[in-house]
Amino acid sequence: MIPIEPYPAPVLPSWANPNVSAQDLPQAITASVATLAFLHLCLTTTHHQVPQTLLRNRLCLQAARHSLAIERRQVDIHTLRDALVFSGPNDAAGPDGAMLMQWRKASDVRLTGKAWQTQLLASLPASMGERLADVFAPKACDPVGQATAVLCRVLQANPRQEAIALICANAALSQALGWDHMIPLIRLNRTELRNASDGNDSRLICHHSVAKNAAQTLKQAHDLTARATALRQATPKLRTKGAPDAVALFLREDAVSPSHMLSPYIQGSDTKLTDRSARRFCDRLVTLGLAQELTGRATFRLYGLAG
Amino acid sequence: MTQDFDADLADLPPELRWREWMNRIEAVLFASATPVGREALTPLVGQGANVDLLVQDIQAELGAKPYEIIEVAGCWMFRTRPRYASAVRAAADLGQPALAFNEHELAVLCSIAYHQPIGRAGLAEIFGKEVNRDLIARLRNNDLIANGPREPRAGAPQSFVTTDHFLATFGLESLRDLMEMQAEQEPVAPRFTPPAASEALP
Repeated sequence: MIPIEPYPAPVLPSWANPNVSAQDLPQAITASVATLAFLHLCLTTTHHQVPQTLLRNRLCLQAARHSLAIERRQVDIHTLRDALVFSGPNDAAGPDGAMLMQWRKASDVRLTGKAWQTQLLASLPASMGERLADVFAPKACDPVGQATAVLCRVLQANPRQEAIALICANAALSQALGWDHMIPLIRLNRTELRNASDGNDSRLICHHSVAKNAAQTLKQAHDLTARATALRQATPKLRTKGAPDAVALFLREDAVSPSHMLSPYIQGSDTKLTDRSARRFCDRLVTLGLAQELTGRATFRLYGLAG
Repeated sequence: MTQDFDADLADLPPELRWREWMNRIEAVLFASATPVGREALTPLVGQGANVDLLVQDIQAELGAKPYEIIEVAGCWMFRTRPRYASAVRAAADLGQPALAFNEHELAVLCSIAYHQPIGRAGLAEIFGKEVNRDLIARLRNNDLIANGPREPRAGAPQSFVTTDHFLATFGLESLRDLMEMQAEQEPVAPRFTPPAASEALP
């Protein structure tokens, strides 16, 4: 067992702690700005070595589950992972898989390039792209204010496209913060979204949501970084052929299926692995305490850095 | 589309131009047997013309007509208004349309719609008996369901999901309409009756 040495858990100073019950806009702004600043440092300081793609994929999983709940589909993250991993190239993904793919496609868009708006709109269903041509026009000079404006614009024109509105708002937020990919931090419930589409001022709830989710994301990022560091350090000791490629996959995907993603080729590489050695590799990661089995099933198992 | 097709109509005054664009869209929707997507309509109108607004304007003019334009999975199509279904049925011998389902078949289709992705094992659990393979094949051949992700169980059986054509047939804009219908009828009514397929004539 390789002990995972956690970094000291990030504790936000009390003045930055999001107090979601407060109905005071300046107080909400202070909390969201402060937590965003802490998160920004955590994500962009290289010595932290946050596994960015892994973090994004996990957040997309949670965001997709939330979006489906808004559309009255109650699914857990296990169902979503299964829908993504076990869809063949010719299969329809179904509503759950499609929603998750939607979030992941949007979070793959590079926000630092000039064409980020076009690329983001291209990642949305074809029927939405054109309708949203002007939603990103600058309105507010602060990132959360701009994201709120984007959210309201999308919802006022398309009140039933909550998921698309949340994707656009979160992309606008990350872009305004100077991050290169979308990190979903705005998550509103049905009532809050309906208020936004009715034209009510949504700045307060957006700041609350950002403060709360940025604080949670900070904790998640720290936890994943500790686990990723342990896995990176253990790579030379994993005597499987292709271990570096397999480790790279574990540092990107939150759920890895040995028989679908490590064999016959390790996804994203040319390295061959037999079904048997793929399973043995995953078992070894679990024995070493570097990964967990996520499903509790005897077959069609999925492995990931964190549950 | 021919090379010399004039989408912009720069030589027409704005009002006539807008009217001509509306006519083009209406003609295409009228001529098409299947829902038409935005990407097919955009090349018919000038750059910067909003297809949504054009469709809205056509829609507004159809106010008193017995047919309307509906939106299905991001595409548009003409449809007879449901209250004229009986008139259409009385006039035309619809015979045995492909979508003449019996109650059991509709129940299977509804179960797939609500519980998708769901496989034959899941359906057997709901109905207390195996669901006929031919029935599933018929739903698939009618393009109402498609193969979804494989189920993570021994043998990796295929699951089923509904298609965009399913939405069009039952006059639903998205799956969510179905979920909200159910939510309004809380507690869940197991015998949900969808609008009869024949009322959704194109």
